[in-house]
Amino acid sequence: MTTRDRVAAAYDAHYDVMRYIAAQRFRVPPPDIRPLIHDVFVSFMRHYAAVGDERSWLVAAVSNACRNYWRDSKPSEVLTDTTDTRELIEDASARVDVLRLLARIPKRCQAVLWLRYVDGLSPEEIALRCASSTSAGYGRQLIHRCLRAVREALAVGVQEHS
Amino acid sequence: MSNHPDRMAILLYVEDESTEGAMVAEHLAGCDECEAIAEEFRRAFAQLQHRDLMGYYSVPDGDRDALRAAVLREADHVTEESWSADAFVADLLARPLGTWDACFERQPERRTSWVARRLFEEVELELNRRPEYALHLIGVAERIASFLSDVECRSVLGDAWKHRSNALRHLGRYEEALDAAALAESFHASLVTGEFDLAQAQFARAGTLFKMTRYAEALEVLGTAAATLRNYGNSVPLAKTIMLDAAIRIEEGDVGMAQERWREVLPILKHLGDEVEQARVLANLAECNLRLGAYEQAMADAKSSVDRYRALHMEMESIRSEWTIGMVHLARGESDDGLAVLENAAAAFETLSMSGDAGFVKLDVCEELLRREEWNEAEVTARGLASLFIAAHVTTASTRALDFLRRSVENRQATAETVRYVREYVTADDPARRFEPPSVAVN
Repeated sequence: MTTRDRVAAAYDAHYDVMRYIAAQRFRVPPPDIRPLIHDVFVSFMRHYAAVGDERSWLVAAVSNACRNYWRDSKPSEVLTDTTDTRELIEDASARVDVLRLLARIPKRCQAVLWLRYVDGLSPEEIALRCASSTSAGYGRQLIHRCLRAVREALAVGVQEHS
Repeated sequence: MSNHPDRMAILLYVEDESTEGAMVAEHLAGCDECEAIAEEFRRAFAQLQHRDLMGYYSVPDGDRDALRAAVLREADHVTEESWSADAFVADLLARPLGTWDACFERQPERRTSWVARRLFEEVELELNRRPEYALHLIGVAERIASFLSDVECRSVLGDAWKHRSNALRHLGRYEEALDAAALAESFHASLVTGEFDLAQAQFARAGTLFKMTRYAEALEVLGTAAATLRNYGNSVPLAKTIMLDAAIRIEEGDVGMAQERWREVLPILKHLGDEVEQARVLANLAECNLRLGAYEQAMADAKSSVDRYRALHMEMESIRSEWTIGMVHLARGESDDGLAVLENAAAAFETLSMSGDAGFVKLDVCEELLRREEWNEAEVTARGLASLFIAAHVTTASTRALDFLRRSVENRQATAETVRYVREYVTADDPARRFEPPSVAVN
């Protein structure tokens, strides 16, 4: 495998997790995420002969790079995130898997699930918002249908994975 | 509830909105199939309720493709620069060192981080053989660094000081080696992506502390380095860190902890596909197990090590593991087998002109023969020892110790303890130490 092929494969496999960590765990401003991940990959290319576990390496590297980013940007602030990298990998990977899952379901379902589980709307309110209906039962049907879509997407994902 | 509740009923129950909650709960308690459906809903809710996830999801990612293209351009650049650096450094190495600066003056575009790093590869090869020359190479790389961008400069300087620390350690200039490692750490710590290199600079410092027999400090530094490196998953530097830790434990006499470390590193080396180091670790594990009295495991590890060394055509190392096999036989009371294996190992060392190693194996043979009170055989062995060690250019004190052993055997006064006493002199082989015969109690 050439350097290019290996880097491309690593990027495609791990970019989402790396970006998620930089954006969500370390709150690095979006314009600064790109150069940060770029630098991590440059470092990866320099070290990859010694790397045995690309995912762990890249996640640890991006996490440390984020900590150092804040150290250099705001040296007076103590960064409290000292999460163990292995935990971080599991957590971030699970979340990114959900992101990929959500991308597989219809937009309407994404909106229904958002309203229910993020905004905390009741089934009646969802029915009203999404279908101009005042029926709580209809709202519950919508939620159920969307969860089923998630389940089916998950099943497809599991089959693809296996 | 005699029939299974439908999915909607289970959903309502999980969401705590069911009017038949008690009945559904009772059913779920006795029905794995429905409980699995309920669990699936619970998991989905738990995941969907991550607000940061949904917030992240709603923000479009415009960077992915552009960054991918940029990273791949960098990968292409790396490949080109590596090839170019290989060719240029090969050309440099064929010229006298004194002419190199002029080469860089004529070709300033060659002052790249890749040329500097290619020189560091050469440094690693030269460390054992010519550490002074390695220091010169490091100086050349350091001069290149001053022409690089800020980040590249600090990265190359960090590596330069790390390699300098290693070279100084090889030269026995330990205090300077420690200072050099500290500088390397400072450079790497100043970089956003410098943690992995920082841990390797710490490893270099630990190596010097080990040589200075400052074991507690070395272990503390290694602990810091290992904590960082573990986060990066299996890697060569992590394996090296654990192996140095194990070596220090052995020096401290903590065989149990050393064994733990060797066991820990073995799967890492397997994952990395490092056959040579796997064989070495198995050889070390065999020694640990022998010392801990775990003879079956010691035998298995030693045999496995021999097989691997043979497959790798590492004859000298293979004979050393055979030697361990012989010692395991002796420890298990299989004296004849042990002596046969040890005699073969000694002969194999002699074939490779490794008379010192052959001599140490013969000392073990002599000890066992004395234990068996086979005086004639022991006499022949003791006489042969002197010539083997003289060929290995040991000190006068060692020669006298061996002569003392020979006479003791001839006079039928030697015991296994006498051999151990003499072995200690020959192992130390200290020119400043005079040989003193043991007290009468030994004889």
